Order: sequence, then structure tokens, then C-alpha cells
Amino acid sequence: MNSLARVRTVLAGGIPDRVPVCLHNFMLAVREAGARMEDYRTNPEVIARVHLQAVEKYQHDCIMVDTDTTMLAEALGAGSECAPNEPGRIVQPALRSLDEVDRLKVINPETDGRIPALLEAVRLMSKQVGGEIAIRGNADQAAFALACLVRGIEDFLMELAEQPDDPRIAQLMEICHLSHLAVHRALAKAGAHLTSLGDSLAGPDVISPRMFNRFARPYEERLVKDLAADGIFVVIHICGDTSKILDMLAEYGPCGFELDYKTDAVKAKQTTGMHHVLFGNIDPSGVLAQGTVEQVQEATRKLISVWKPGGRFILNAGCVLPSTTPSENIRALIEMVKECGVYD
Amino acid sequence: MSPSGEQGFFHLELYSRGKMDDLKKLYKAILEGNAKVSAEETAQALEAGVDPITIIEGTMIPAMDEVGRLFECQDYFVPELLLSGRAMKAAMQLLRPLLAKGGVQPAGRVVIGTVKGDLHDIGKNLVGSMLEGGGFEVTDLGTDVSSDRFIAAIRETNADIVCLSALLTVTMPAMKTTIEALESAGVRNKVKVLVGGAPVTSQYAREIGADGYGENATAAVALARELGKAP
Repeated sequence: MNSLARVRTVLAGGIPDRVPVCLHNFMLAVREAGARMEDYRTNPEVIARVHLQAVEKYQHDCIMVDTDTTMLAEALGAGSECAPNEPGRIVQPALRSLDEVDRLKVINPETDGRIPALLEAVRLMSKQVGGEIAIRGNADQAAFALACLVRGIEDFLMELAEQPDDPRIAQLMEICHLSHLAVHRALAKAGAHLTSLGDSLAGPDVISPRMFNRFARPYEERLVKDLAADGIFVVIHICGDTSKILDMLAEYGPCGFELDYKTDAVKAKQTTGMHHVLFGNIDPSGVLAQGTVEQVQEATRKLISVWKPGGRFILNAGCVLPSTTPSENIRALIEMVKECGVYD
Repeated sequence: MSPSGEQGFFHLELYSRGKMDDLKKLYKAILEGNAKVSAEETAQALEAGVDPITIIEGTMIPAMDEVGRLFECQDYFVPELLLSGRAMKAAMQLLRPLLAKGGVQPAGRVVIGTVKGDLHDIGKNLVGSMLEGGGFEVTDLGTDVSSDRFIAAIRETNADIVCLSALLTVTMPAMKTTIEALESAGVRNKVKVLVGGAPVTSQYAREIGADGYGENATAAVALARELGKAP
């Protein structure tokens, strides 16, 4: 069973030969390839090269192609900046007030911002390894988190709490949703075997489950449904501890959930893990970047014992791996899967 | 969600039976995150001759403590913290000039910033806001703050506490270099250093010689109060 077959088996709800590994490693891959983040953000050859070098080195089963969390917000008009070798950060929202929402237009992924570079990188990798290794194209932020970035996080969170029925909020969310949906479709067309998203700010570390249910969930569920109709498997990532919204996530249509390390792994297996594919969720910073090999082995062994039974599990870090993650820790993770992740 | 959970109202009832009965509207405005009412009530209280310290210590700090408690027990989330912080600041804006004039001492003086190379500020802003609500005088240096700027601000404000924030693993080492720079400059012994941010752990805080680690904004306030008491 090659890597692609292993991943596809899991996505289809079957039992593979062993637990597949996906690495959310773009920052680490950029450093290890000796590339500059500034080039990685915009140059498809650089994006493809750093991921192919990483997969050659670690032999993981699923490449996750991701640039940062600002690509879509920039395409919608937000201003960003980056410190050297850091991913981008939004410094100027696209909208100074909700009154400006009429100015926004749904983006075209084939032409707008840096998205064409990401799509081209997926095409390049698909040509080279697409028959053997799974390619997961990350479509950046989903409607809720994207709207936060486009309007300004703090202002938008207060507007959601103060004026939830404002029709301009719904209008903004719709434009963000349609823009984001288009990127998933474009990634799949470019050769991604599965796609994913971050709804980074939608978890209970930031907003209440009630606000999640009203402003994030409907768009996520629509996305899952629309992509399923197109035959596209999507993985949803929400940052922080999602234990309190697992029951809601469990009601979504078929998809994957990449849960952050703070989420209760046992509860996740008993809720979303029953019918959805779980990705994750080793602590990327405390364990993989800062921990010892023994700590990585222990955390990986423990997670495999909880999430492996019955399949529907692809091992990954709970969020993006820091660029400082030692290679021996990634190797320890992979070796542990080979030791404990094999199905009988 | 409604910015006033059941527990909030319960507390409010208890409070309103206290001696600061006339300030209960200000307490409620902060709890519910209403900046306009907060400013109006503060202006009225001042006009009626209420002492600014009484307003802060008797009403605003208890209100922000209650906001922190509601956040801890997950009745409040970040949007509610932001709204209450804004309401608290609207009142503080009217009170600050009077405090300065009266030579009133704050609970402590805090210098806060995101360390060199790191541009993230939402967590840092929340911590700063909650500390201000807790009665501390907060000097916010913003993001990408060099050791030199921290040192200058400590000297300038005569700070008791320095809060260092980092969201990135790659910028965490700047917390260590900042602490080392405080030592070299001879100001390390004058301040308590608190660190926080998503990748930071209490173990890391110990390793780099910080005095404390706060997992979130309310933990930071509790820690600042605790450390503020130390000799």
C-alpha cells in the first residue's frame, strides 16, 4: 500500500496497513530547504521544492501545502506584513467599517493575490508525486476567521456580540464563504487529493459555542456539503481547545477534523471520531518543537492508542510545526507510527 | 451570547446591596460592555463628587474582576472581554487625568509588549486591558519591542512588572535575551518578569528565569497581584 492509497483508505472509512502521517510543516520545510519565507509565499517552484525535499526526508504520507493565514484576506484587500522568515500577518483590515462591505467582491483564485502561486505549486507536485503521495491543499481561512481578518479581529468580534443581526455582517460572511469555497475547488482541480481549511478564531478559546453555532458552523457545514457534492474531501482545523464544540462538529457531513492539541483526545474519538476522520493532534510547540525524543515518543504512543482503533485517523501535529522543530523529533514521530500504528 | 450571564446578575445583586449603591449602573455597564453608559455614569459620579479612587477601587476593579471570573468559567469569551475592556477604558479616560493630578498610586506599574521579531498583539492587548482593569498602570509598548525599549520604559515609568508576549516559537528566545538585557542593564532586580503567549509554557518561563507565566489574561492579573505583594 503506497502513501496515497493509505490516506485514501482512511478517508473512505476503511482500515489501512498502518496509520498515515500528514505533516503541517511548511515553516519547518522552508527552513530545512534553506529557502526564504518571502520566496515561499509567492514562488510556486519554491513551494513545491521545499515540500518535496521534506517528503523525501521524512517519508510522510500526506503533504500539506499551506502558505500562511493571510493569503485570502490579502486577496480581499487586507494589508499584511511579515517579519523576516515569518509568515504574514494582517496589519490593515480591508474594511474600516461594515459600511464598506459593498466594496468587497468574491475573489477569483486563478487570478487574485498569491493564490495562483499556491495552485501552480499543487500542479507541480501533483505531476511529480501525485500518484504516490497524498497532496492536501490548504484553502486558508474559512468564512468566520476570514471575515475577522477582513474586518479587523477585535472590531468584528465586538460587532458580532453587539449587533449580531446586522445584515452587513451576513453580507461580509457570504462573500468570505464564497471566496473560500472557490479556493477549495481550484485546489482540487489543480490536483490536490483533499483540501483543508483553518477556522482559527472560531473555537471556544476565542468565541462562545453559541457564537460558533451561529456564525461559524453554518458556513463550515455548507462548505462540507458543497465540496462533498463535488467529490472533494475537506479537513477542518480550529485552533485551541475544541472539546466544548465536538458534539456540534459530530453532526457535520462526511469530512475530517484536525483538532488542536488542547482538545480532549478521548472525547474527540467518542464524538467526531465515530464518523469523521481525525487528524492531529500532537502538541506542535511544547512537545514536537521543545520536547525531547522521549516526550515525542510518549505523546505519539498515547495518541495512537486512543485514536487508532477502528481507523479514521491520520497522525499530524495539532497545529503548524514551528520552524525550530528538531528533525529527530519528526523522525521519532514517524518511527513510532511504524512501531505502534500498524493494523493487524 | 448575552454579555450578562446569570452569575453576573447574581453578583450584581449582592453588590448593589453594598455601600456603593449609586455606582451599580457603572458596574453593570462594564460587565455588559457598554462603553457609552460607562462613560456617562462615570461623568455623573464625578459630578456628584465621588472620589475617583472610590470609583476605581469600589466599582471598576470589582467589575473587571467579575469579568475575569466569568471568562475563567467560560461564561464570557474574547468578544465579551473586549467589550468590557472598552467600557472600562471609557471610564478610565475620564479618571486618569484626575488620578495624575491627585498623585494617586496605582496597584502597580506594568510595562507590556510583544518581543522583538513578533508582530502579534491580540493576546497582549487583552492582558494589558485586564491589568488596567485590575488597577494597574499599564504602559503598552506595542509589538516587535526591542530589549532597549523595554529597559527605557522600565526606567521611565519606574515599573514593578514587565510582561513579555510571544506568539511564535521562533520569537520565544527573544524573551530570554530580553531578560538577559534587563540583567545587564541592572534593572532585572527592580522588576518581576511575566511571560505569556501560545507557545510559552511554565517550564519555559522557569528555564529563562522569568518570575511567572500566565496562561491567559485573567491568570496574568492574578499573577501580577501575587507578585506585586512580594518584597
